[in-house]
Amino acid sequence: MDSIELAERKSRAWAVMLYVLGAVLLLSELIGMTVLQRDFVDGFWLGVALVCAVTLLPWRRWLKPDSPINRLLEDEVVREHRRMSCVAGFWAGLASALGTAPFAHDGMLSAYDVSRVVATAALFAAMVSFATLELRAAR
Amino acid sequence: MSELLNSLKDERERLGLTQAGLAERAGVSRKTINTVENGVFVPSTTLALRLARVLGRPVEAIFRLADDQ
Repeated sequence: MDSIELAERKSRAWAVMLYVLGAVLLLSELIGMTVLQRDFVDGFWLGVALVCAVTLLPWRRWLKPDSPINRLLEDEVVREHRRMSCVAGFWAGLASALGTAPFAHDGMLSAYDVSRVVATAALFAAMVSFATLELRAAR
Repeated sequence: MSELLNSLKDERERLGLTQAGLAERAGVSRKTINTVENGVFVPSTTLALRLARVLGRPVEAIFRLADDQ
């Protein structure tokens, strides 16, 4: 298998993993706010959210900048997709912050719940759009 | 701003290269070649020059502005 094919497979697997992680993040957020309001669910959500945030960083380029595979996995179009998905995440975070502000003002949502909603919305939107752009480009 | 058109696919096929083959020669992923060919992604000047060099054509023979026609 040559480096182009290997990079393509890794990229596709990465995109699928982003969808899965995004779904886990959203589910843990919904479960934590509704049916299972327990500390371990909160901790689980926080752990998943931190992992999700790391997936949006160009850590491959930072760790091994000279690796030929990493150069293919972090090329121009991937950087453009990351930029576009982070913009999508920003707008989702802003919309959710504005949407939850009245509920927080009236005491219906705690500060922790608001921060969870905003972080989940931002991360979910960024990850899903990144994965979608990557898979669409690989068609 | 003018749309950027390209004849990357025609030039690649002229040399009998697949997208993966061109990607390997240019040192980018196949996704990049695919998105440039489809006009989804506008490449940087560096990448445009590199693609032109790989294809053995001047850059303006591959990339042109829509309102130049």
